[in-house]
Amino acid sequence: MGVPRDGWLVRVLHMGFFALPRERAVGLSIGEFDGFYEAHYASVVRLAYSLCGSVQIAEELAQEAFVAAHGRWAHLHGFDRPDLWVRRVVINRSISFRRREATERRALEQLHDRDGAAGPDEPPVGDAELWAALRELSPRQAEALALFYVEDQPLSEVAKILGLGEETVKTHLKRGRAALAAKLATSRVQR
Amino acid sequence: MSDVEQRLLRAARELRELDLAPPPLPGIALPTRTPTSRVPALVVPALVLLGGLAVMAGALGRDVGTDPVAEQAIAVVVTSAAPTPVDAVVHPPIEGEPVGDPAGRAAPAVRPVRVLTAHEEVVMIGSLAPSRLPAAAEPVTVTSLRRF
Repeated sequence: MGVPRDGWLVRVLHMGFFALPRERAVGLSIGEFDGFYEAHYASVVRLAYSLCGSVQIAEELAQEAFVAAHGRWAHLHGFDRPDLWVRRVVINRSISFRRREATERRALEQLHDRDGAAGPDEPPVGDAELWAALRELSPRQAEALALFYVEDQPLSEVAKILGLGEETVKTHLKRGRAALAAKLATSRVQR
Repeated sequence: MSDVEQRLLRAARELRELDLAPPPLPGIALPTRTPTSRVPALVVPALVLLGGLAVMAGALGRDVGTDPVAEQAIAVVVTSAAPTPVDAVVHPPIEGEPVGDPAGRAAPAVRPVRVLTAHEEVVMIGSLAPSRLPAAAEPVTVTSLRRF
């Protein structure tokens, strides 16, 4: 039995923005969204948390990504790994959130003369210093580190999600680790 | 394994210990392709195609003399060259050459207001009833059928 031909939407999605895997399968039926959602929700929230730094925001971003997947489920359910699409969406939304948050923080600092700027109002999870340093990296480095270490995705999957080659991902990982070590060392010295 | 990698893996383990149960899905129906949902998908392109053909046919115009249907057509025109209030009631205004009468006289104030079949009666021209048309207004055989 031959591999089904990709529709136009699939071909467009493969062109680069989402960089979905080429393999298609009939692994999930259209009615299996519930199972897909329950199986991947927690890991998608963790990925979002590593990039945005708030559990509440991470849950919102993950739910937005699943709502987007729900709306496109008629197309996505045929993919071998529709969760990669959801992860790509949540990464994009997390990066957008970081940019918005940075802008808001600058505006608040100006309003409150720096000291009065509102900080995060929820306790950090685990190694707060590490997460803060991770979020200060370039988006690509932070995404690669989060997917590889937090999500425990193999290099090939990280490359597919980010739409990059494996060698490029290796470079981002290497530079990201170095930058993270430097930031952690700096913060240790400052303490 | 470097110190940074160990910290990353430890932080990831701590993160996995978080209780992140998915909230229940609201009762939203999944978008499915049912036979009823395919009907509009076919109707809309068909309507667009027909509309395009109609526009093309209207733009090209038709020669009355070679069209058996047009031989039965009557255009209601106002043949008076003098200024009349008829122009004010022509609706909708049509761009293009005015329709002349069978004698071929020029009709500067003449404008086609509606193309009728031979079996139709003129009920209204714009907001003016036929009985109130100026005396100069009379039905003539159409010489140039234009769709509008």
